[in-house]
Amino acid sequence: MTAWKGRPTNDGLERPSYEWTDGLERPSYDRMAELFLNYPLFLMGLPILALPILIHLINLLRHRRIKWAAMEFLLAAHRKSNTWIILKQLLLLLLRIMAVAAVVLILAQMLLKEEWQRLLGGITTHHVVLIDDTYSVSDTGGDGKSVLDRAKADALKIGEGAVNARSSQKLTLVRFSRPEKPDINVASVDRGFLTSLRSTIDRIGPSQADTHPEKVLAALDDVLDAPQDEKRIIYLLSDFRAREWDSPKELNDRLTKLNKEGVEVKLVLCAEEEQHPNLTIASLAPRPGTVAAGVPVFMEVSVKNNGTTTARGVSVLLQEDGRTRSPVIIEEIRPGRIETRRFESRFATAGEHRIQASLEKDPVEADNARYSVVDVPVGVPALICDGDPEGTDGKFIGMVLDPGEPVRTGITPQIEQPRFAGTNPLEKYPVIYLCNVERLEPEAVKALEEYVKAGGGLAIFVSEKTNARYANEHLYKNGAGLFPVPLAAEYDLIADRLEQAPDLDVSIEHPVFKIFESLRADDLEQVKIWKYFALAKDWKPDPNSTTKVIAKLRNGAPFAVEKTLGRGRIIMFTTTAAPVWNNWCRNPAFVVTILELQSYLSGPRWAKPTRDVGQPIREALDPTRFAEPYRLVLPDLEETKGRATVQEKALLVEWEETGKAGIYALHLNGRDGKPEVRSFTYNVNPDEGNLALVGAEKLQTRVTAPKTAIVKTGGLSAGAGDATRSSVSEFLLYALIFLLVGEQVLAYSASYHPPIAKGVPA
Amino acid sequence: MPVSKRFLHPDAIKKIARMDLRARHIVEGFLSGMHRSPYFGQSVEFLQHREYVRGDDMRRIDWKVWAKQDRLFIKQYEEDTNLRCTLLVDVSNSMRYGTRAMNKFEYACTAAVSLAYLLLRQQDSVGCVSFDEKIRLAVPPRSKRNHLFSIINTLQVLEPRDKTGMIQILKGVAENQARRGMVILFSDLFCDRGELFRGLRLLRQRGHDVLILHIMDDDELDFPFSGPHRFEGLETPEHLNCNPRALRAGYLEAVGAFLEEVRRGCAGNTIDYRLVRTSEPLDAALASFVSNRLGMDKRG
Repeated sequence: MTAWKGRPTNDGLERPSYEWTDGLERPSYDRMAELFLNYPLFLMGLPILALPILIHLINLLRHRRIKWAAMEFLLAAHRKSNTWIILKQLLLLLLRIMAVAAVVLILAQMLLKEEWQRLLGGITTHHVVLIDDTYSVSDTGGDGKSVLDRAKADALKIGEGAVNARSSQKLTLVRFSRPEKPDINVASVDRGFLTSLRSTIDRIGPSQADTHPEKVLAALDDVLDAPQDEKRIIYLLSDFRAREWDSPKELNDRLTKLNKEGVEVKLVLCAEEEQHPNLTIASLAPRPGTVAAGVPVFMEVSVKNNGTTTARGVSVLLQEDGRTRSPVIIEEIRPGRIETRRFESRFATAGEHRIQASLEKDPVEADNARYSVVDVPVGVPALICDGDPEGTDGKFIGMVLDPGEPVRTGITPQIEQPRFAGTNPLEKYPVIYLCNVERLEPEAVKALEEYVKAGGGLAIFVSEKTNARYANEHLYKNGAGLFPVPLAAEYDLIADRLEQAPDLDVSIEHPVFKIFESLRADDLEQVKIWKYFALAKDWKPDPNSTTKVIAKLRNGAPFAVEKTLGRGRIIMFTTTAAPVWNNWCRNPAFVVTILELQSYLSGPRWAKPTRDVGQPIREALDPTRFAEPYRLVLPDLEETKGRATVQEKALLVEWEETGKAGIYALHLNGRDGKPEVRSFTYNVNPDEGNLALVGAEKLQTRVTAPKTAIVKTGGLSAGAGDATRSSVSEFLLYALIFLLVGEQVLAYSASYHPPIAKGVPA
Repeated sequence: MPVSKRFLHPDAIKKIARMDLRARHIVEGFLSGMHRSPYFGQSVEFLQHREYVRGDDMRRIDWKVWAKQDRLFIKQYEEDTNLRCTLLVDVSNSMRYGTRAMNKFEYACTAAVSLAYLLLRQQDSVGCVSFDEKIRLAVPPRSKRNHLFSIINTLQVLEPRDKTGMIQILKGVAENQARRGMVILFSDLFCDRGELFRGLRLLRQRGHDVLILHIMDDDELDFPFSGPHRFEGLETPEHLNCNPRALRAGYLEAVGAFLEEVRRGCAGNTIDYRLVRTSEPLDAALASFVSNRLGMDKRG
């Protein structure tokens, strides 16, 4: 009794196989067929094995009859040598059968099982084909064929070569986008292999990944064992872009290591020599600043010209939550340059909002679109810790942050005493302002340090209340604390009676002050500073530290100093926010500076972080808040449902298939009945859109590994495996020659061939 | 074809016509002829003087000797006689083999008739005996010229059959031929060699001059066959399926041993032996055979 039963094969494909289900082991058709490339010819040749016996029997029957007189002598000769003659005839018959069998086996292209071939000294050839399916290979040439099309054709040729080879062959097919999961994993090449290879190759399309070749080669160490008892050839079918191969030190190290292990490497250039034009959206994100519902949000989109000619009139199409809005036009992008344009968006409601930017069609599609999700809150709280009970500094800052109707900034200032920082959670405040702080309780210092290290922004304004000794000891902490610099004492800024120079000298390059580049600079020039806190004389910024002076006073003393602590930023001003030591807060420049300061210190927290395609989603959930079932909406709006796996203290949602750029929305079920959506933004790596080629000649000089050959596409012959033919056919050919020579010698010795000479002389 | 033309080839006759077939040994005839006789008689050839004894013919006394020596001597002359030759032709089945113009039987008959012609032409008496296991036909010796046709007609009607039984034949010939004469055997000698040599020895003991013309086909001497063959015995019921090339060496070795045995046996009995291939031109073979008889001793 038989039954069809699916059998997982080593190439990962599911094929039907015909198997006996009674548990007894029998030689199967498949097993025999695997031994021959041309199995039907073998079956047809089997009857031919009986040909010598048939001819022998026919000869016995079709003898010539002769009436013979001298029977006496003939019978005497027959009696004398009969046994030996029969033995020779049988041996001759056996040799002829073996010779015919050898011919049949050669024509049927017999393959040896690996263990047999090893006994005969044959070596298995293992072709490891690495196909570059990163999105740059969708670059289509003038012939309408993409780089990937050429790579697939080359891979098929390699497969054909392996099938035609006489020795034992294996093939592994790996895509760049998933090097740890080969499409074909060490599959033995038999006569039906080409069909499965072709169907596997046909399914390969350009991915949106940007896997580096070195990573692919490194992944082979995990996928394949060290090459033992086999000749391994690695074919790297790629476009060989300049950004990866211009200075391939790590690749050279990897290739050299492979060569030392006896692995032959062939770099197959599948791209055309000519570089095609390609525009890439390099980034799409909200500008640093406050984002809140109903507040205009400035977004930035950057487009890079990866071609060799100037692109003019580039239109960037925009969509907000699926609605098309007016495009951004970039007049000109010169080759290799990135042009950034700002556009304004206004989200009426709080929550996650999706923005998509896309370009018109060009040779590479994947980098023509980019996605961003902006998490818009109802309002943004700002904590102002003012040590002055009157809150003078805090009021001025608060007035700037929330000037009141009709101007809406979306920021809600909250003025508190410094001790508030030590007793309340600070995570909800994007920025905290410290003013008039004489002392801070240790809990507050610790909470603020942790807040900044976690990514919070801290702005510090000093005043006459500031205690330099305390500040240096507990807040500066030799550079490890909140204060970026050690303080010395209050100083008066000597008035400039000639008014030849403004009191403030700001670094236009810094984001906080960059706005003055385009605004009227005379506002800043009107700012007067008459008192400031000088720094310790012996202090100089450590070149290795992140502390830097971003604005100076006229006399060169620091006015604003920035440092980073953990993931957060701290900017300290050496003067007051209130008009006590300056007239700054009465100047429009103060408003602009504080708003820019708020934006800068808030950081990009409103934009959901973007991920590279291929990076898996792993989201840990609080099991007390969420139930296990979830729903995942993919970029193509296809939905998939699943259950989170229960971990020790969390629920874990995992999703590996993130090969397509776009937004993945994870819909969670809250235990309180409220659903929650978490979005994950996946974008392609814009660097992969750089189509600059390294070129064959340059690659020749760059690759220094000894046994690494560079082959142009199409240069691989269909008989790629021929070089390794130490096949059974060769062995059979030698055996056939030996058998034929042996047959002739035996036939001669049996007196079948010598010329008939005169017999007995008369 | 006229009966005489079958076995009497003009070319062969022409070749040997001027030759004589002489008896090597003394033979007894009844006519004066060219062969040495055991008797003294009338002849032109003086042999010796002998003292007269009573009863000698007075006419043979040599008076010249009596006149000189006063003793009576008679002259003795060597007597010549004619030859009584018996041709023994083997007509057993084995003589049917032959692949060329003549098989062994025809070759033997032609040779026999040619020699009969030669002998009759020189006034000798020729008889013919054909035999296989026993004597099939026998023609008594005659010296008349037209006796040749009797011999030809005898051979003409014969067809080879049966085995060769040599001892009875030779024994019969020896007993029937009271007088010493010549016996010529035409055969392939495929018979029991012991019987053959016993018979020949008997003939020699009776004073017969024995000659053997051993006739064999080229195939029997060269064994040129190739490819599968079935050999069926002409005189025996045995057969053999074989590839002849595989057996050739052994066969030739056996034939060589057979010929050597025959040669030795003939030499030991003072018998003239000549092996003839059927491909050999008959005239040349006979010329060679006859010329061997020339230059022999006058008296044995």
